[in-house]
Amino acid sequence: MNRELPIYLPIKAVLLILVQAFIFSKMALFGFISPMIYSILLYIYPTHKNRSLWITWAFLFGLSLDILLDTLALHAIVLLFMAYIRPKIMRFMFGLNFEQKSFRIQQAPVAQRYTFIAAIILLHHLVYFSLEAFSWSKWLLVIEKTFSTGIVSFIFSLLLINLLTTRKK
Amino acid sequence: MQRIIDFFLSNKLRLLFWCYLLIGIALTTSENIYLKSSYLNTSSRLSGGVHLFFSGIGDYFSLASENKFLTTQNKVLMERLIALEKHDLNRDSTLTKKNFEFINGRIIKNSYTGIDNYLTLSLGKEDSVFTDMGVVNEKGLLGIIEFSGNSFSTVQSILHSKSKINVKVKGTDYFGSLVWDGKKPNKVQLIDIPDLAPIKKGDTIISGGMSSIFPENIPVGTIEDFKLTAAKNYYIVEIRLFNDMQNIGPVYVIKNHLKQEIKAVENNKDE
Repeated sequence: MNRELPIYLPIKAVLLILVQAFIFSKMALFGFISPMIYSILLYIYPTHKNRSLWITWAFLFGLSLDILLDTLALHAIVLLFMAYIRPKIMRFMFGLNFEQKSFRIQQAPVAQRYTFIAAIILLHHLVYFSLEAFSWSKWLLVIEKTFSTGIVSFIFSLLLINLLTTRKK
Repeated sequence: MQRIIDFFLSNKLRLLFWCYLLIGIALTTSENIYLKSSYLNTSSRLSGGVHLFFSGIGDYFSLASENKFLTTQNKVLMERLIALEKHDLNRDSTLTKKNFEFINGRIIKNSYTGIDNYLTLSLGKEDSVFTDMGVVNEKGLLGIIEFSGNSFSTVQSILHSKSKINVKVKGTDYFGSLVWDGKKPNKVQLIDIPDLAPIKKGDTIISGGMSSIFPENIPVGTIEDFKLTAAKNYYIVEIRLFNDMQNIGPVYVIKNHLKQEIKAVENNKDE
């Protein structure tokens, strides 16, 4: 079955929202870490699709999570920002390869892919916790939370990506 | 005209981004009561139904333990009631006027790992639950209702960066404010306790009763550690909560029948 069909993307997104809201957000690893795995949407969404549609998607995806998690519009803002700057991060990570129309993240070398995932997770968490704290005096708490939650999110994200993405035979 | 259209077309993505960003910022920071309450009301109605469904499944599996807990609590309350009746047979009936009413409900969504945590309560305006009412359970303080929808309410947890609740050291008249540093969900901090206060590790902290939200003597936690502030005139006290914020169980919303009267008196005093 072709798992690249457009229908699979909304299904994956709805699954991600449900898994985040009802499993990962209810977790409290070491008493204070709730992994945020939904940022893998930035990895699984195709690279050269319509960018206006992509940021609309990201905003609505974030807003659905906000409604379920009572976080006003924090997830929506962060995901919108990440979706907007994703091409810049990708150009930085993958260089000239990214400019080619046939480029797909899934075909990039493992080390590059994992570095990209780690970068988007750390940046996403940093922006999210900074917005949540919204105060310079809490910078240390923001850094602590970014790294502690980021490491756990990274591990779970890798597991989920392996479940959700197509494997070339 | 053509230039304007060209401008919009060439900057379509940037304009769309700023448009969404402004919507997001408006929903997050707006002080506009109509906008905020419409958004919160819609979101609480949407998410409340989904959370109610999932928490219903979870609750089914914890029925046995909840039953056991209720029987134990009933036993403790019966013993207290008998002890009270023995001592207070001749009490002045005017003193027993019921100021506080407890409305029982349950938490259908709980968060404790963020910097600002909220709980979703299965009660709303239809159940006479309104903004600024206190929420407790049998182990102690949980938070204050921040927004009340028709069937669900949002509770600002004591694990919130803006939460500041009046509490005191049990057995003394030293009052302070309960705040949270955003780190561990089982520990909160007590500030504004003067250095003269005779506090020690293990002392119990209870609600101070200085506000119209919580009555006095609701348990909070015990002192785990304390140190003086940089100015050396106040203590910062580390409190271990009695409550397990990760597993809350049945809760009670506190309705103060004298709230309006207290507010009217306070407003009069200010004028």
